Amino acid sequence: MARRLLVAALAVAVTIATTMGSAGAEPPSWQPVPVPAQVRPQAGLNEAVALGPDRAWAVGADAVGREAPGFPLILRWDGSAWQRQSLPGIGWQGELLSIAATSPTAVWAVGRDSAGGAHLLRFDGIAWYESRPPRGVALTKVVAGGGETWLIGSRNGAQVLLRRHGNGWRDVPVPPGFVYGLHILAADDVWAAGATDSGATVSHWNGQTWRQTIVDGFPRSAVGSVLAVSPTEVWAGGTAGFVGGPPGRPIPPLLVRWDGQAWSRVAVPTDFGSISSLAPTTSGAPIWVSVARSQKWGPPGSYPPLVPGPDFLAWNGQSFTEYSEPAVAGEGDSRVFLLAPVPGTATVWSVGRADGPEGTFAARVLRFG
Amino acid sequence: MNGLRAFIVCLVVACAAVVSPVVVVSPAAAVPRSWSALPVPAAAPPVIVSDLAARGPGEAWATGYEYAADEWRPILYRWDGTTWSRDTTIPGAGEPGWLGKMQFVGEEMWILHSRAGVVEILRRSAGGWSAVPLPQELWTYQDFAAVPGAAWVIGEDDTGLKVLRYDGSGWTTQSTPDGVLYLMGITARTATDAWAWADTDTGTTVLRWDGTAWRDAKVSLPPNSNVHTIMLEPSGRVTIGGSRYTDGVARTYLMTGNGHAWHTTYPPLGDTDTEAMVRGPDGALWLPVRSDRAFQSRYARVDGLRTTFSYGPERTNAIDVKPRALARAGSSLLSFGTVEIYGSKPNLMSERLGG
Repeated sequence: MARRLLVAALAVAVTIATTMGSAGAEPPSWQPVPVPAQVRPQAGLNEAVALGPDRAWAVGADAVGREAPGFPLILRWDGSAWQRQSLPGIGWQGELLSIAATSPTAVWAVGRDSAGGAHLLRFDGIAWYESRPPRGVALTKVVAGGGETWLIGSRNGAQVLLRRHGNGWRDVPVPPGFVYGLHILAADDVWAAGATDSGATVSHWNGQTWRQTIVDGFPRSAVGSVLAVSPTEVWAGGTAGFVGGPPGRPIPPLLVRWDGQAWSRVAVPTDFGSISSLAPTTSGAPIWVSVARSQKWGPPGSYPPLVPGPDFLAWNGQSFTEYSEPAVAGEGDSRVFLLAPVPGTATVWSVGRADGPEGTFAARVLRFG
Repeated sequence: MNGLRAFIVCLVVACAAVVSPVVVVSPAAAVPRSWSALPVPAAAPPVIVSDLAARGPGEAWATGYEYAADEWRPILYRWDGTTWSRDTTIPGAGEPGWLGKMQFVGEEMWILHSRAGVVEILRRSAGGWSAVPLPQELWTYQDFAAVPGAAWVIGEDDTGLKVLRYDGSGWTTQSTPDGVLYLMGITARTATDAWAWADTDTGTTVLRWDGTAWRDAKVSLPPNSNVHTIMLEPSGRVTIGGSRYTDGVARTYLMTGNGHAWHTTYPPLGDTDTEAMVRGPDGALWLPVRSDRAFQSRYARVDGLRTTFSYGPERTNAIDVKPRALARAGSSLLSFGTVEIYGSKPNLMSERLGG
């Protein structure tokens, strides 16, 4: 009787240990998520936005030829798979560059056709349709936040910013230099990442004026992403710039942080590449940093001297945890990672384009958590 | 009342006939329908297509070269009216070399052929293959033309421009007018009527051979222009295609004439190269153009002042479809070129319109 009890107890213990072991054995990592088969080669994704665990959007282009322009591409995540969104009213060729949403029924995308013309698409909860873009503006990005929707573009070569006002778009004053990215907290609380001739800049809009700071003065440094976690914690990422040859020499990434007093450079565990995206997750979960073309010095004396560096960095408040993208059969490495956090969760999407076979490129979707 | 009703019906029918588009189809020029894909046995990529030539609906040939076992090798394909197949009977099939332009000469087919570094004219007759060696080696073989009684190979050697002419039994070296630096291309209609376009110290010039000498044909090409091709037709019509440069922007032009009076047009083709232009079975000019779709080829049809475009068949997972040469095969139009399917190197493709 005692022995039978012991055997039973042991069996239960082993079962519990195995279950716990299999559940806890694999730490979370970045996994590839299949792109729908209807996406035609060559394809690439430029940005994504997630509204919740069961709804996300990604934009880019597909059927891009060696010389021929492709077609605008929108993918929709429905909670279990990505689907290709049909766009019956969209007759132009080109690509969608950017997507942002203020709500599940107010999603905007910015595109450029093969003649260089700007396009603005809007999703109202039911369908995607063309919306009239601001006249004369070449659009590159749409950014949403705090109920606001802003557009980044240029007019006759000059930087412009516009914000949604009523049924139209209104120009907003621009900080000096270029603006590559925004983080919008409210109509009177907007951070901009960019660059001037003096280096990488981060600017803040208080509803009336811009206040600009040069966060790195190295020639040709620039930041393209900015993330304001709080008034005393703002991150910006980009490229550290370089002067001198040889041509093609990789450039170090730039990551800076505002602590309420000053901007300081944050060391990253990779030597070359550029910060392509910053993403917050829920409080308690890390801030994500993606690095495009990440490379670092290999062991001394090794050849080639540079080895692949981490593609994703998770900041836990103290240090970075490094992650590499998973291998995808038949494809090479990604060229860029655009992050889209899923609100209210620790899940993050990454979209971009990766090297395909025979010098082609392919759309890539990865997910963490 | 019946008579009135009948009259009204006739009136309505007559009006409908006037209002709705009526297409007159003559047996000789069938209205083209759509392009279809013709399977072509694969070559060893990379593969280059040189030429396509057809003689009636049941015979067409395509030449080029493939990269096999670390060397370029000639390829010859044959169309029998239904399928494309590879012809491996050519002399030197397994040796390094290339096949270039083809010309039908009487009952024969002549092809410019490089075999293990030596260039010759390969002749195909009902009895088999024979070769006409060139009298000398050239640095470059720019073009080749052949008609009954005469063949030309033009190029360059270390002494400069060379025009080699074969009269059926022997070769002569022909001279060109002063100021001619290089001949870019040659087309022949008969042994005493051949045209060439040349690079001279005053720009591009059209020359003509009349059986005795090469002379300036006194063709007033558009200013700042070059020539892609000269098309000679049995009727006597001549069509010149080229690019005209204005403020650094190139635009395709076409000049048609009988050799003395010319008419120049600028069809909406951007700066498309007209080298592959042919007269189609419907009497219009056809040429492949750069496609704006990764998965389909595109063709232009130029009929006087009217230019229309058509797409080739959709090819799944194709990222580049490039017809290189066209030929009229009876009442259909054939194209031959390459297609790159995502994940593979470009390989051969063929399409047909009509038939």
